[in-house]
Amino acid sequence: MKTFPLKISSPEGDLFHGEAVKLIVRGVEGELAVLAGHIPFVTPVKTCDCKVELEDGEEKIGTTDGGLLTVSGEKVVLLSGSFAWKE
Amino acid sequence: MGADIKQLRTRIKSVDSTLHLTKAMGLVASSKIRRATESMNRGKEYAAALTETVEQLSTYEECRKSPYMKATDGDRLCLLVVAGDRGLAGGYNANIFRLLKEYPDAEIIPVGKRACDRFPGKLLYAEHFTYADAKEIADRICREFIEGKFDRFGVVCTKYISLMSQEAYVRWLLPLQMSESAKSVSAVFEPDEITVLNAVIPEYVAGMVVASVKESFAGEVAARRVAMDSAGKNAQEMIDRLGLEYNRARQGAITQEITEIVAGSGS
Repeated sequence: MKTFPLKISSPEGDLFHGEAVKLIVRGVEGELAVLAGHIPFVTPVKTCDCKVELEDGEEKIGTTDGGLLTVSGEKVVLLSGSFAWKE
Repeated sequence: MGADIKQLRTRIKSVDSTLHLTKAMGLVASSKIRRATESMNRGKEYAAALTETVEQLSTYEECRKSPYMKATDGDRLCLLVVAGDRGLAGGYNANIFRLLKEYPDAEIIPVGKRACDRFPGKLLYAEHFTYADAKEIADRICREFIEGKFDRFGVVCTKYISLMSQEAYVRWLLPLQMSESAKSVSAVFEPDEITVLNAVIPEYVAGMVVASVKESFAGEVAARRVAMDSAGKNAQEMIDRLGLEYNRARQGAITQEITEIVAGSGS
């Protein structure tokens, strides 16, 4: 699977910085998944569970309290006011 | 002579207790430094990511119509002042308030006990400042900015340059500065550019405020440590000098007593 650089940042610092295969969040217009090669895209994110699929198949789930998702040509950034990984 | 010795002894005792105090405060500050700088760095990462995103957003044509980007000629200012929670931190608080004197007519939102003592407002401690506090302030600021209650918003805070040096400065946040360097690229906005930008600005302001408060707090702790170090050194010097004086006075008294005894026995 192709991967893309993902950064999840909150006031507590960068909570994820690395390669990911897939990211699922809930945007204002509905749930969406980001894969490698996504077009440049910007949307506010609602309070939701956020799934990150890694290259080795591992799936990480976190909760974000709103935020902003930016997909630019080279990377994907999720900015969140408060974000926590689920154990 | 006897009274002199007693006076010196009391002074040595009092300087010694000051030395203990400065030592303890220095220790507390150094134990807090690590946590404060870590927290500052995390805040900086978020601020950097936010700035990058907002800079990118501001390059889109549509976003330039946002009320947040309209620069006005007015000079009504709103300033968030970040000062320390306690004193005894060298020039830390004084530098902030000195800088603030340049803006006498600004509306002030205080953060940190020392600032809250001077200006009316909710008591917020810089050490325990959270994102939720910042968001509350940012939402209000953004609303009032759009309503046109003031023309510029900035944060008076302290830049942490190193453990030894910090500098007070004003970080202007609103209206947004258009960046020249970022290159314009097209992107899809959902639902549309203005909604996205208007949703992200309060987050941006809150993020920058949190980062500034964290950086200032790291500066406060570092300034206190350095101040306490030098105060401790001064106290030690003073004790040494007083000790010398005390011994000299004691020696003088003994010599005089001996002279008197010898003189008495000789007659």
